[in-house]
Amino acid sequence: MRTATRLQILLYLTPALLLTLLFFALPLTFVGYMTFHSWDGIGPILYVGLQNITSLIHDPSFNKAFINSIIWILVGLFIHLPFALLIALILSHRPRGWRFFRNVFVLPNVISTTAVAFLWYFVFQVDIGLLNGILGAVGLGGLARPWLFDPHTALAATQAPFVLYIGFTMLIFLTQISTIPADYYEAARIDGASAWQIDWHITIPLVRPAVAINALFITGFCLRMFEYPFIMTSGGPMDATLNLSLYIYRSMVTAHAYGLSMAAGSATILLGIAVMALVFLALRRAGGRPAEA
Amino acid sequence: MRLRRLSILGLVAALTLGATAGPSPGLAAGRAAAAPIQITMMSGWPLNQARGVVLQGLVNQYNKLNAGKVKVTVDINPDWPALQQQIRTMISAGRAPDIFQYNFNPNDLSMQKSGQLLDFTPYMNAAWKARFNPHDLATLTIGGKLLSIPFEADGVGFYYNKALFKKAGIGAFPTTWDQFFSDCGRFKKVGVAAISLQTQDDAWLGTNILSYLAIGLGGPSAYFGRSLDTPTMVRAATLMKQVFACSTADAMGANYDVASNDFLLGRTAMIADGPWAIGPIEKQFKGAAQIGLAPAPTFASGAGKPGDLVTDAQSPFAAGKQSSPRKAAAIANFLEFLTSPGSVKQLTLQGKLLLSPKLQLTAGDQQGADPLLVHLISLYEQAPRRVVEMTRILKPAGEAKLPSLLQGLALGSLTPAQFVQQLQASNH
Repeated sequence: MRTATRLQILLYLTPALLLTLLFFALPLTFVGYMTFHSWDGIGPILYVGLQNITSLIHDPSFNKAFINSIIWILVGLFIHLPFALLIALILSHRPRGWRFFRNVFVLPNVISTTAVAFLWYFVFQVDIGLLNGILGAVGLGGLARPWLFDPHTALAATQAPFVLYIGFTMLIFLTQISTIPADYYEAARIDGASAWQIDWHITIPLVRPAVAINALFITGFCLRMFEYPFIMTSGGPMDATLNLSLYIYRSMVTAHAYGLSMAAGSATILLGIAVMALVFLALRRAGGRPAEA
Repeated sequence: MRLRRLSILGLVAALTLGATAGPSPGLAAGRAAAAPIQITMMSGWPLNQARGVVLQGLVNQYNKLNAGKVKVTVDINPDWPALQQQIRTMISAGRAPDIFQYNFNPNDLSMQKSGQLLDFTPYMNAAWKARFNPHDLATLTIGGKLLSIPFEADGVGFYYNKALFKKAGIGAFPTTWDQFFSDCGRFKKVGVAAISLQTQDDAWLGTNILSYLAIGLGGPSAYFGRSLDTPTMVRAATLMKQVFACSTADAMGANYDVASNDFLLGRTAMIADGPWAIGPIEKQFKGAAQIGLAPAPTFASGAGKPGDLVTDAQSPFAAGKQSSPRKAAAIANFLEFLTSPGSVKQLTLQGKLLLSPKLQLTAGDQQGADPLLVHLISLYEQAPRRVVEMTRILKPAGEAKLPSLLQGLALGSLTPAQFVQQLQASNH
C-alpha cells in the first residue's frame, strides 16, 4: 500500500481514535489506576495497594450488588430476550394489526427511563399503587403487599419494566428475520412444515447473529441499570435491590470513597467481559457464527 | 502580484486581531478597578420557599446598598445532596465557590483541610464575633483558622395534629415514651398511624427519632463516644423497631416527601422535623391552629432531661479562598450583613429558620410571628441541652450505610444488636 494511502487512512481514522482515547481509553486507565488508590474527592490521592479490592470482597453490600447484577443479566438473557424473540416471531407472520402491536411494544422504549421508573413506582406503591388497587378490586386484597419494600418481591418489582418493555430487542430480531430469504420459507411450506416448525427449524437458527447482538446490548444495559433501583427503591430494602451501578454511586457520592467505587467499576467491567465471552462461547458451540452479525 | 495580495491580507488580519484583542493592560486594569466585585452565592433554597424568598430579598437589599461596588448573585440548586456534591467537585477542581452553605461534620473535615477555604479570622471584628455563641465559633475553627461562619442550626420538634389526637381520644402530647407507645394503639384504632418515618435518602425523619431515643436513654453523649456499639444504642435500636410499628406501611422505603405528605394529609398524627416544616403545614392546614408543637417524650429513668433538643448539623457558610483581597473582604462584609440582627430577624420570622447568630425578638415581633415558629424558638432557647442529630456526626461511609441498616432493623432482618454492630463497623 502506498504511503500516501496509508497516511490518508490514518487521517480519516484520527478523529475517531482521538475520541476513543479521550472518552474511553483515558477514563478506563484512570478507573484502573484509582482501583489501587484512595481518594475522598478533595484531599490527596493515596496509594493503598489491594485494600480496595479486599474491602469489596468483605463488604456484604458489594457482594449483594454483584449477585443482583448477575441476576439482572440472567433475567435479561433468559426472560427478556426469549420474550422479545417470541413477540418478534409472532409479528413476523404479519397477523392482523401487527403494525399497531409493533408500535405499542416499541413506544415505552422511547420514553425516558426516569419517567418509566416513576410510573412503575406508583404501580407498586403500597397505599395508592395500581397493582394493590386492582388486587383489592377483584377480591384478592390478601395478596396486596409492599412490593417495593418486601425483600422477597422488591428485586423482581424493579425488574418488571425491563422484562415487559421488549421493544428495542424485538426490533433487532424483526430486522434479522426480515433478511432471511423468502425461498427458505416457501420451500418449507411446500414440504408441509407448520408455522411452528418453520420458526423452530428455520427462523430461530438464522437469528443467532441477532441473539448475539441483543445479548451484548442486554448485558450492557443490565450492568448500567441505575434508574429503576435508584428511583423505585434506592437500593433497598436492606440492599435487596442494590446493583453495581447503584453501589458505585453510593460509594462515590455519599461515602466519598472514590477508590472503592472505581474498584467496583473495575469489577463491573470484568463481569461484563466475562458474560460476553460466555455468551459468544455458548453461541459458537450451538453452531452459530456471531462474528457475522 | 500574488505576494502583494497575500501581504495585504496578512496586514488586514493582523489589524483585525489587534482590534478585537481587547484593551491595553493599563486600560483593562482601569476598567477592572471600576467594575463591581461579582460574588456568586450557591444556595439550596428555592424561591418557592419562604427562606429562598427572604434570602433573595436580603441579597437585593445588599446589592442596592453596595451598588456599583459589589454585586451578589444567588445560584440556586434545590437538590441539597446534588448541591453538596457540586461544591465538593468544585473544591476538588481547585475552584471553590465564592460562598456556599454545607452541613458541618466534625468527622469529615476534608473541605476544611483542602486549603481552599477563606480564613475569616482577619475579618472577624469584635462586634461581629459577639453575634455568635463562642462554642459555635470554636467548633468551626480548624487549625487555628475560622473557616466557616455559623449560620443555620435548626432544632427538631414534634409537630402533632390536634384533631387526630382528639379523634383518638388522647388529651395531650405524650411526655414519656411509654405513653407514646400506648398512644400508638389508640391511633391505630381510629385508622391513623402515630408518626411519619422515612428510611430512604438520609432517613432524616427516622434518625431524628433514633437520636431522641438515644439521648433520652443515655444523655447528650449517647452516640458521641469512641464506639456506637453500646448498650444504650442497642436499647435505642430496640425501641426504634417498636416506633416503626407505629408508622405507616409506606414508611419502609419512604423518602422525605412521602413521609411528610403522610402527616400533611392526615395519615399520621406526628412528625419530628425542623422549622422548614412550618411553611407546608400552614399551607395545608390553612394556618397552624390545628397543629401543635411539643418537645420529645422522655424516659422516666433515662439520662435525658425534658426539653433536650436534637438539632440538625450546623450549616455554616464558607467561602473559597480569593486571590483578590478586595473580593475576600467583600465576601466577609456580605456574610456580616447576612448575620446582622436585622437579617437574622427576617430570616427567622419570615424565612422560618433557626439560626446560630443571636436573635433579639421584641414582644411585638413575637406577637406578629408564626405561633409554631415562636414556639420552636422557645423550645430551642429553653432546651437544657442541644445535641446534633446522629446522622450528621457519622463518617461518610456510616452515613451511606445507615438507611439500609434502618430498613433491616424495621424488617426484622437485623436484631438491634446487629444493627448497632454493623453501624459501628461501617462508620470508618
